[in-house]
Amino acid sequence: MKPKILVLCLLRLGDIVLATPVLRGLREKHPGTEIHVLINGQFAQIRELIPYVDKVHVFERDELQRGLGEAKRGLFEPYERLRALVARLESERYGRIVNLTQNRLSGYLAQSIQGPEKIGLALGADGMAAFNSPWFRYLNAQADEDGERVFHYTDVFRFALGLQDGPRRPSLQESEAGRAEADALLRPGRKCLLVQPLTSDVKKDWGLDRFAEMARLFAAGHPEFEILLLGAPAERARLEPVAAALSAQGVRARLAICSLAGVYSLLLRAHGLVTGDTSIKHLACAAGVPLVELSLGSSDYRRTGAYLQNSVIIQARELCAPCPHSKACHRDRHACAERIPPAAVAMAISETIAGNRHQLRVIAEEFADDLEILRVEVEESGFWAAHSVLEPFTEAGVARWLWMSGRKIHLEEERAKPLGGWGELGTEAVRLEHLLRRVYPSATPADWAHLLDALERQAAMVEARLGGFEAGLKSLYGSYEDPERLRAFVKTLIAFREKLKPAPALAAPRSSLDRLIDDGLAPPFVRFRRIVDAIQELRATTDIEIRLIRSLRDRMETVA
Amino acid sequence: MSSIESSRSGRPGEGGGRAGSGADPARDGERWAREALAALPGLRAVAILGLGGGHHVKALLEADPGLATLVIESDADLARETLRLFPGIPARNVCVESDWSRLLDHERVRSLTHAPFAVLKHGPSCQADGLFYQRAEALILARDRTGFFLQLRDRPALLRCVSRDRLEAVPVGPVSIRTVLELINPESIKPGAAEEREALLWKTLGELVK
Repeated sequence: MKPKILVLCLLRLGDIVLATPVLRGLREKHPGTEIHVLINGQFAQIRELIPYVDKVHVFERDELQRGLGEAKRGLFEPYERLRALVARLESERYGRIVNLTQNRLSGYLAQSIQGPEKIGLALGADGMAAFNSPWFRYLNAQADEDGERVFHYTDVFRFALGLQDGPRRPSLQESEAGRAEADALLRPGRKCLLVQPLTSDVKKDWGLDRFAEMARLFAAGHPEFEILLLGAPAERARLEPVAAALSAQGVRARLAICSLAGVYSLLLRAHGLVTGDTSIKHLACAAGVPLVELSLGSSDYRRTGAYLQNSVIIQARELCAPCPHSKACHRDRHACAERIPPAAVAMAISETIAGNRHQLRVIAEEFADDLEILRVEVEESGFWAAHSVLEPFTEAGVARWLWMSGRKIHLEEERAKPLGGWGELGTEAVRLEHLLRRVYPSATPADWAHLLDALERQAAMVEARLGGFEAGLKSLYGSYEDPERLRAFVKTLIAFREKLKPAPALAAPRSSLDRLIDDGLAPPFVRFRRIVDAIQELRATTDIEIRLIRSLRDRMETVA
Repeated sequence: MSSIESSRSGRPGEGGGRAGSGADPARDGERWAREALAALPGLRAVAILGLGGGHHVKALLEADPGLATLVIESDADLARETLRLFPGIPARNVCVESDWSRLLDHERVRSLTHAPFAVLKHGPSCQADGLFYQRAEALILARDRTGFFLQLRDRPALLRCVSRDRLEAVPVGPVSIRTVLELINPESIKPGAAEEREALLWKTLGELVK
C-alpha cells in the first residue's frame, strides 16, 4: 500500500488555495505518496481545481452544526457522523497528518485521528497543545501579533514541512467545465479587466459605487478593455444594477456570474484583476494575473496577502486597520474604504497591467496622505514580503527585514549549518541582499555601510545585555519562587526595555520584553520558564542578525 | 385492541383510526413517504414512530429500498395484524415494545442510535398513543434527561469520561451538546485511551457551537 499524507484545511476557500503550494510541494518531495486533504463541505467545488491531491475528504461542518442545534435531531447524531468520519480517515492509515488550520476544532480533530506523525496543532483532551514543528509553534504564538513582524501563512506552512525550495505560488488546474464557462462569457478580440467587488464581510467591502467609478475611470483610459464584474449567483441582484449603470454610461461592462471553476478559467484569460480580500485574489495568484488588492477592514495582508510577484496592495492610512475579525466597525463611517479614491485604484491597476512599477511611486506620492501602496516581493526574497513603494531608507525598516530573515534561520535551525567565515554568505543572506536592493533601490553603498554599522552596534549592545540576563537567570534558578527576587529580576528587564525605546530598530527585542514583563499572572515556575526561553531565543536571533549584518556589509559595498 | 378493517378504497385501514386514513390509506401512505424522503437531512437510517396500518412503511420501503428503516410500535396485536397483511414489511424492521423505557433493551434500537438517523412520525399512531411516542422520541433522540441517561448507559467510553457528581447535577429538561461537555471530567481521561478519543470527538463538536 502506498504511504499516505492527510492535510487538514478546515478554514475558508482562500485558505485552501493558499495551501496548494504545500500540496504540490509534498507531491514533488514524496512522489510515491498519496496526498489526501480534508476540507469543509461547503467548499467541495474546489476539488476539481486542486491538482497534486489524490483524494478529497469532506468535513460536513454545516450538517454537524445543524444537528447540534436542532432539538428534533438526535443528540448523538453529530457525534456518530464525526465518529464515522474519523473511522474512515483512520482506515486510510496515514503515515503523516498535517494540520494547516491551527484552530481548536482542527487541533482536537487532528489529535483524534490515529497516526504515527503529526505536524501542526494537535490538541489533547486536556487542552495541551503539541506542534511538532517550531514553525507551527511560532504560528500559534504570532496569532496575537499585530505588527509588521509576521510571516505569510503560506511561508509558515512551507517552512514547517521542509518545502523551502518548493513551489510558492498557489497552484490550480483548469477544468473543462470552467473553460467552457469562460469561453461563453468572453468576447474575442477584447482585453479583459476582472473586478471582484464583494467580499464575505461588509467591513472588507470598498463599496459598489467606488468600484463602479473606478471601472468608469479605467475604461475611459482603456477603450480596448471590457470589464467583467465577478459574482456568485447569490450576488446577482446586487451587481446587476451596477453593470447596467456602467453600460448606460458607455462603459463596456458586464456581469459574470459563474462557478469557481469558471472564475479560474476567466482569470487565466484576463489581463488584470481588482479585488477586495477574497478567495478570488488567491485564484488570481494561481493564474498569474496582475492584480490590485484592496486591504480593508480586518484584511491582514501580511498573513494572507496576494502571493504573486509584483502584486499591488492598497491600504488606507487608518490606525484602526486591520480591525478584529469578529467585531463590527466601531467608527461612524467606513473610513478605511472612504480614504481610497477610485482614481488611485484605476491608475494603480492600469500601471500594474502595463508593468510600470516606477509609476506606482508617482501614484503613491499623489495620494500619500490617504493611502499606502505596497508591492509584493516573492521571487528575490526567501519569504513573502510587501513593502511600500515609497519605503523610506531607515534603520527600523531594514531591521524589520533583518528580523524576518533571522527568525527564519532560527526557526529552521540553520544555525546548525555554518554560514562560513565572516566573508562568506549563506543562502538567506543572499536572498536578503536581493530583497533589500529591491526595496531600497536608491540606497548607495555608503548609505548601507552607515546604516549597517548602526544596526550592528545596537544588536551588539542587546547581545551583551542578554548575556548579563542569562547570568542573572542562572543565579535566580532555584529561588524564583521568591516573589521579591523574581520581581527584582523583572525590574532589570523593565530598565532594559526603557533603554531600547529610543531605537526604532530595536522594536523586536522590545516587543519580546513587553510580553515577559506583562506576564504577571502566570505562576512563578511558568513565568521563570518563559523568561528563560525568551532570553535564549532573543540571544540566538540577535546572534544570527549580527552575522547577517556582517555578511550583508560586504555585499552592499558594491553597487548592484 | 386495534383491528384492521377495510377502508372506503377497499384497502386495509382502520376507518380513520390508528392505522391511518379511512379514505385511501395507500395513497396517504405514498404521500407520507414522498414527504418524508424529501425532508430527510441526508441521512440513510430512519426510525418511524408507529406502524399503524403499514401503508406508509410499505410506501417508504418501495420508494427507497436502500434506506435502513426501523419501525417502533407499541401495540403488539396491531403489529401482528399489519405484518400479516403486508408481508413485504420485514418483521425484523419492526420493534414492538409497549414500555418506552425498555426500547434500548432491543438490539435493533441500540444499533440505530449508534449511527446517524432521523425520526419520522406516523401521525395517527402518535395521536392514538401520544405519551408513548413522545417518550420514545425523546429517548431515541436523547434530548431529555431520561433519554440521555438511558443512552449514556449504552456508551461505556463516554460514561467513563464523566464524573458521578456532575451526572447527578444534570437538571431535568432539554439536553444539549453543552450538557455533555460540562459532564466530561478531564481527570478521568488518560491520554491515548478510548476515553480520550471520546472526549476529543465531543470537544471537536463543542467548537462548532461556540
